[in-house]
Amino acid sequence: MAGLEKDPLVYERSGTVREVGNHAIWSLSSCKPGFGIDQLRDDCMETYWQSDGQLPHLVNIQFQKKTMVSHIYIYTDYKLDESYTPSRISIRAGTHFNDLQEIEVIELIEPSGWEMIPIKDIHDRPIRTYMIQIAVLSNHQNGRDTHMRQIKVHSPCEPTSFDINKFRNFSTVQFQQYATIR
Amino acid sequence: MIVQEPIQVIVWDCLNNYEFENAIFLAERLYAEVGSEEAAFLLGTCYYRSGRINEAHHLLQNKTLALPQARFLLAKCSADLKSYKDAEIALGSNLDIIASEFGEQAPYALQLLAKVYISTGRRNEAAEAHRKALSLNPFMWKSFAQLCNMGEKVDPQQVFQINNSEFTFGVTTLVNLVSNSENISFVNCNIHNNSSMNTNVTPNNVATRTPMAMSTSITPETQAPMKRMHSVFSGMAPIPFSPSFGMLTMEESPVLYTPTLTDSNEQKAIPKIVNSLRAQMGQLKDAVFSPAPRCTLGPAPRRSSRLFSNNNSSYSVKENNKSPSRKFAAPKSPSRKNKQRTAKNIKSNTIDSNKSIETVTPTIPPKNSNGVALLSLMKEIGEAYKYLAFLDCKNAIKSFQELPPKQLASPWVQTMIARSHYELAQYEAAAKIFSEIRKQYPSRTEGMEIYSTCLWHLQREAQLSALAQELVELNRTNPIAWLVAGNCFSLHKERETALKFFRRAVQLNPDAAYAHALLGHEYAVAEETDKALASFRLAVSIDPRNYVAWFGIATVYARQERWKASEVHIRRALSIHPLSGVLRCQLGLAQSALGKMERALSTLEKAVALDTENPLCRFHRASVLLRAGRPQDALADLHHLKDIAPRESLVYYLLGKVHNKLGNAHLALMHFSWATDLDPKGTGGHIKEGFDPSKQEDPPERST
Repeated sequence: MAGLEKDPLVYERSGTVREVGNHAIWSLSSCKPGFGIDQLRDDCMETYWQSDGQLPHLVNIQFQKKTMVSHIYIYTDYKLDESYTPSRISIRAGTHFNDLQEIEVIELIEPSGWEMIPIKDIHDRPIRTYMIQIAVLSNHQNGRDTHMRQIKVHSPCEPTSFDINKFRNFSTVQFQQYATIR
Repeated sequence: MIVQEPIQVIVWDCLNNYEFENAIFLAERLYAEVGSEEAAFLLGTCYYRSGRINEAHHLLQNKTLALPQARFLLAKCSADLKSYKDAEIALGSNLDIIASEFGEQAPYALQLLAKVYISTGRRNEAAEAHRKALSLNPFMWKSFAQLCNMGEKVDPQQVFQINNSEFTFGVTTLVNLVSNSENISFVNCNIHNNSSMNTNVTPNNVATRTPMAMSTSITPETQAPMKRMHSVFSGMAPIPFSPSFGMLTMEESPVLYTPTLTDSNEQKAIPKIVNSLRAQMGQLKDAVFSPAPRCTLGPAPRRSSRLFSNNNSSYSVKENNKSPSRKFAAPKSPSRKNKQRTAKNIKSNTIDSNKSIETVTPTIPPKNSNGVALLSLMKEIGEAYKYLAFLDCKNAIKSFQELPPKQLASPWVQTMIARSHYELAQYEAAAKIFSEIRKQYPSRTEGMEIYSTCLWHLQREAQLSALAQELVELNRTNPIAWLVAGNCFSLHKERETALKFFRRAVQLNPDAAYAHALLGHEYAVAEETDKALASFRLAVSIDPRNYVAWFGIATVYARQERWKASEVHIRRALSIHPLSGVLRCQLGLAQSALGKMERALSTLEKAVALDTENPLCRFHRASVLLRAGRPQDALADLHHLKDIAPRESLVYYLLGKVHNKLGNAHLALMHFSWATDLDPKGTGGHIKEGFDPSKQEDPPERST
């Protein structure tokens, strides 16, 4: 699949979603020194997180307030990481560590690039949650540790239900330029 | 034991030639030797000019200073370092006492005091101080501008006149000027240096100092310096005319001194020159105008002489005097302007043709012609600026465009005109003017943040990116560059980066209210309402007339659906900028949200009448009409909008809803489908809801 449709930046630029990872507290189950959260969130595909413990490896994302999450994007590369590439990832959500429920499991087969994981509840709407946990259940070639190069979390920018507020995004510049004052 | 005077002279010489390290070294030696207050002041000045403000402050702060110049310098350092208490103590608090103690520096001291007052929240006292400064020296434009920006009423006609009784621009300045011109002749004209020079040079910018030096300098021991002075002056002569500032030109040339080439070797010219110089008080040196085409003595030292001199006429030779008429400062009248313009044309023609300098006997003019000319120019500009500050933009543009063409072409005036267009939400026009300015003055950054905002509104990504890149490359420490970069990324919807850059700009210059307002808007869009409100409030505390910030607070509340609070803040913004269509439109929306339909409709009526180019006024009027249950009336507006903006999908969407309300289901569906055609992604998917009646969010509007 072309990586373009899965590129989170395209969606961010459309203005319909926001990246909310910066509003959260991140923690890992384990990491090798120098290959931790900073490398996971630095917008650079050359640096990566390398775990250093037992499976499952966990990435915990805790928000300060209940946040609506619509997608999670994970960047991995089989060509570079081979046996460190995750093959089964489970996404769990809840209020805290003891209250997590699995909402999504995905299988990756030799992924190379961004992997988009839509997060939906039983009504097919984005979930509202305090905490997200990304668990790596297994790696390619039965590797023990895992590499993840980047993770992004998207939250939708919902227009409110009020009629007038809907008219905040016009389609032509002619209208949009008068929509606000800067 | 070192005699102070000659050393001071040497140090001033270094300073005048921008050689600060040299000056600091020498001044430090003098200070170490003598330790007097004068030496401290000199050293402090050297430090300040080379940017070492902390050291200057440290040097002066623990002394009891008697010299007013030293006190002023200490106050300036303290103010720059933001220790306003020290600055205030150094200056004093009674305006009249300051006026008398500081003498010629009083206007500057008062201006500084006003700045301190503003920073500490005492706006009334600040206004008083500015007014006093203006009364003492009508050329303090900055005070006038600050008063306008604060919303104080000032009358440019009153302010910009020479009130001779209080005008302290004195003879001493003039005389220093003369002596400095000798200095110039040495330094700049590349004339062979005479060793006797040093004794005659005095520091020019310390107005009240060493009056004795004056007398010695006027009567130089040797012929050579005088010759040089002459040559300097005649070197300057090539400036073909004195700055007329668009007023009566050159005919008059009252002044001066016209040292002509024929005169240059005559001793007798000297006293004439001196007399004429003395007689011209408060004249302004003309700006660096045309280079000296006929200067046979090397490059005319225009720049340095401009620095010292307040007296431009001394350097201009009126060679093309057709008639020895005087330049009068007549009250502003349009006919006079026309006459002036034609006169100026004639003059320039004759200059070209007439290559020889006429010998004009210097006369002592009764008035300070060039100064007065400048003042009348300032009156005009002041009127225009006042219009802009009070957001009467149409009149502002008109007034600015009535300025003489040379001034009109200058970047500051163009920036002001562009700003006026921006305040009127005429972003196209503003962007055009700004791009012209960029072409001609690519390193000028003043006003570029407004340009970036105009481009942001017009969604011109390529131009905005280019602008951001150029400005950041030009100077990474310029907060304006980062504001532009922030706007660029905001347009690309990369919120985090935009926020980073806006924060950077605010860090570089925390006193710019607009920077805080932009940061606030970005926070608001990124839905961090607390930080947005904090930024907006900071902006408003710095500048209560910043309506962008007030509006920002209103939008934050609107998003939270706190309509009452939103309305209050929009009204506040409107009170500052009553002619804004956008603001009035938003007020109408807030009122309709509160249920005050009639009020909302009348507000929107006014908005439509006020701002004919803004289609949103009509659009929102239509939407409010629909909400108010008058869909038929909404149709008229919407059809009009369809004509002027056929590609706006929300117009069709609204038409669809109106037809739904009216019961024309097929028309409604047709319009909805057009809307979706024009904008497949829609704005959050509500267009799809429009399609499917079962998902309509406003049950009362559902067609049955």
